[in-house]
Amino acid sequence: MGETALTGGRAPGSMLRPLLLLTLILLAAVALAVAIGATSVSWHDLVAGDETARTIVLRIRLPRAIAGVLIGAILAVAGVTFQTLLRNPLADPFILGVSGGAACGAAVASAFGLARIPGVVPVIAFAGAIGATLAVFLLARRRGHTDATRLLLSGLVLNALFSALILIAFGLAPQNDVNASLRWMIGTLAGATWNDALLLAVLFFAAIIALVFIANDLRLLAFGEDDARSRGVNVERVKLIGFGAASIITGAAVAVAGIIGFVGLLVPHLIRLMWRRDFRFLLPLCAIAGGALLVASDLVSRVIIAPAELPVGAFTALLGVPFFLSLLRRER
Amino acid sequence: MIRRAFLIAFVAAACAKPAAPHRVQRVVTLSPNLTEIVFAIGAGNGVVATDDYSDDPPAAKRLPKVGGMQPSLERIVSAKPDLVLAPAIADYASLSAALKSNHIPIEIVRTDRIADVIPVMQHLGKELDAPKTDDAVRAIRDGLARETRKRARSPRILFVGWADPLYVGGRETFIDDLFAVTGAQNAVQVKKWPQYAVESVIASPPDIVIYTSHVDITPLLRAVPELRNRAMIVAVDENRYTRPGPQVVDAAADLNGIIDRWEKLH
Repeated sequence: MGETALTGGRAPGSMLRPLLLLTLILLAAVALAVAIGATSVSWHDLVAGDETARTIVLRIRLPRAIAGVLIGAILAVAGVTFQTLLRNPLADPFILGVSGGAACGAAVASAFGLARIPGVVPVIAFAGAIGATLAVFLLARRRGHTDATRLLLSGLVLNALFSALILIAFGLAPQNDVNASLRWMIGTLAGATWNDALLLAVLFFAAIIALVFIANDLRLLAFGEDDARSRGVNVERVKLIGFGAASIITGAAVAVAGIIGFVGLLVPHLIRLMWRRDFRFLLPLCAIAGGALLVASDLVSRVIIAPAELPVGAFTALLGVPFFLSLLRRER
Repeated sequence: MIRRAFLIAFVAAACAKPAAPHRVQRVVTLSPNLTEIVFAIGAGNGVVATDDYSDDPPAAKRLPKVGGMQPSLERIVSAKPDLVLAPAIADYASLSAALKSNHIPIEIVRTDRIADVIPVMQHLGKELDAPKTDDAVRAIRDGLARETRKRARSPRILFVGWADPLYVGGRETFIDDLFAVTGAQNAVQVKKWPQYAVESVIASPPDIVIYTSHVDITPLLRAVPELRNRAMIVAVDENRYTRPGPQVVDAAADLNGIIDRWEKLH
């Protein structure tokens, strides 16, 4: 697998059709997410300016759907970026320890009672993600360049350390403080606000600009570092920008919604199996497909036993895996 | 040969003869409400250790502690109990097996609901030969009868167990039983302790929001600011509202006080 899974030299020619298709799916998912919920809101009431209807749609469902689109897009974009940079199809924000760092930050902060101060835990979760990336990067760096295998291995080891710290934090913390950090372990879009959505949007679009800027270099990197270097790619700079952008947006996503699995791994492979493997092609399609998958999963998770809600991470896997497996079978 | 077989059979029978039922003298309790029940029926003297959370009555608070969610087998064994009482809410399968291999009997006691409290008291009263069982049972029966209300306007109450994400007290729970006793309605239709849709709170706002003093309620109030105007929001003592045991009468009285205040305002 390895390189062949991630390369594919053709220029992004007929991107239009998949782009249109995925955009339509995304818009449909968002429309459904805004229209359906635990309570029934009629469009008539909404248009007539009914206070309750407006609150539910504009302050609860819409920001949650937008945050879902952005977080899904972020996780998929971070996944495809890590996979391309490391030329490893298994790389994703979780395997590299980025999410683990964020969760660990949240758990340890909660154990020390910091969860009682509003706004502190998300900031520490964010710092945890960035700290984990830096640590993984430094551990993997040898004689001026970063080795992909060492990077994955460092991520693996750090994840073990993070799990250990989380378990210890849970053991030491009073029950209520444990509850506070569970939010980051389970992963949920519940309680997402317009402020969250705005923060995510700013960081996401900044990261996209940075990634577009290095997209062609990333495409060349898929053929191997030496090959890319010989074509004039500044490999270390591309890695720094790529890892930096992907970690910052992952940190923000985890700070808002906690750990949501499978999107970063599933979506890029889905796009590769269905269409193409060129990074310039993958970047926009992963963003849109990731957003659609997470919004759809969140919708299912909150209506299936409404008004009770289930963890969204279960449904990203439930919706994504059968589709993925059928594609994999067809591929053989 | 036959004589030997008889001898073996005889010895085996002698060994297998059930030991004469002896009084339980050393008890370890693994949840606060079980501790409180055992003390209430006058068998507190027999309690030699409790879980970390048992803090009432004061005599129980001073006892050796054997741990919290995952009690220490070593500490339980070293307390030399002849009975361990564990709540049915946690999974004690591996603990049970380990205790049994140490010849320590463990009894899993279900006390999820108000209706469980008196039968459990009576059962433990017999088992521990507790002197004040009848008094304790009467206190609860009379107390609950005293606190039972029928109200002209029954308020809808939302019990918040955690605010971000929102977890609430649903139907078929101890807290739901308390609402029934005090003449209130549960604002939640779902069973047990679900994660709950915030929009359901907006669509049909409760009259009273109750949360335990450990919970940070601000995420809910930020999401549904109109609750501040529409509902009476009250912090309560978590222990009182979550321990099905002798405190149930206090909990009902406390809740009646809250609802009476609400009735006066409306």
